[in-house]
Amino acid sequence: MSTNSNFREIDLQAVGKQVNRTVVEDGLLEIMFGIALILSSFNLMIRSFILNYLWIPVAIFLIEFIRKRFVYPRTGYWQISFSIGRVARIFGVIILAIAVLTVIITIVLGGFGGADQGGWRRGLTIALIIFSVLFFCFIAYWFHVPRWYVHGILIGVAFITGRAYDAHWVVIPLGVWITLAGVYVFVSFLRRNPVQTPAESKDVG
Amino acid sequence: MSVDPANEDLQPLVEIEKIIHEPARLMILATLHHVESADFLFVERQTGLTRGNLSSHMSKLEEAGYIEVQKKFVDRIPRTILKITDDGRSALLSYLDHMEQVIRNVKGRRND
Repeated sequence: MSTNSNFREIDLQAVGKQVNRTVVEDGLLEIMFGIALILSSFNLMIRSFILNYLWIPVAIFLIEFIRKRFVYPRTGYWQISFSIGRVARIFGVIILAIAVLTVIITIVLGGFGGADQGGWRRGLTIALIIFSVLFFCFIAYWFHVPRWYVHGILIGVAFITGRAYDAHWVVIPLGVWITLAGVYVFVSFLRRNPVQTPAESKDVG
Repeated sequence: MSVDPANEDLQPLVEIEKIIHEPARLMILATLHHVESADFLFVERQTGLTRGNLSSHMSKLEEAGYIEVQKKFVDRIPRTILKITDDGRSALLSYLDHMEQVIRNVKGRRND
């Protein structure tokens, strides 16, 4: 332990990392976000985010439904704490600022009436890519799951290579990749964590 | 038991919160510190404690007022839900600050 160590931070951080990781260790968030990315490509075709708006409550319901049936019997039930630290708050503010900026850029490129349709699609694609990169990196940082940095980097690399201006070439394969990664993680999770037998599942207390 | 160490740097150790100082109970509180609530199985898995051990330490923490324990049925399965109280959270953070002071004192002595 270094002389600059903070006992409180060392102990609680280590425990917090492990506890927070339970939110993403089952892979369900990845599956839902991968599907959201695929739906986003269709949104860009119809120039509306209606599919994503409809998907959000469905995804929330599905995650909870699947966790009740398959995850909680294996790991126990928990309710995450939403009190977040200073760094996470700063990160959240930065993401929000980027969000506002990209909306402004989208409006400037596309116009309120959508007259410049090429600009509209370009603006939306830029917004989508920036959101996705920041979102994945934030999740990777907050929940300490390095593979989410990979997802974020892949999205960023795809954008940089210039394919982002034709959204389908970027978004659909990335969405499929992230969904499949989530499915793999979920199946591995089920194998690593057997369901407790009825006798074991009666908790003592 | 009254202890009065001649070495004043060891005095904080005498005053340490003994309920939390036990490693198993410290792990339980540290785990609950990061969640709104959790059931018995979750805490058991996170801490690696045996069922009986966890149950015993859970009772002591509940007696001290550091955790709340609720028993209820969820999908017809009995569940024991644990939640750290405000007193428990304060006691945990206070304990960690206390330990940090002890470590600083000991290191300070070693460097003299």
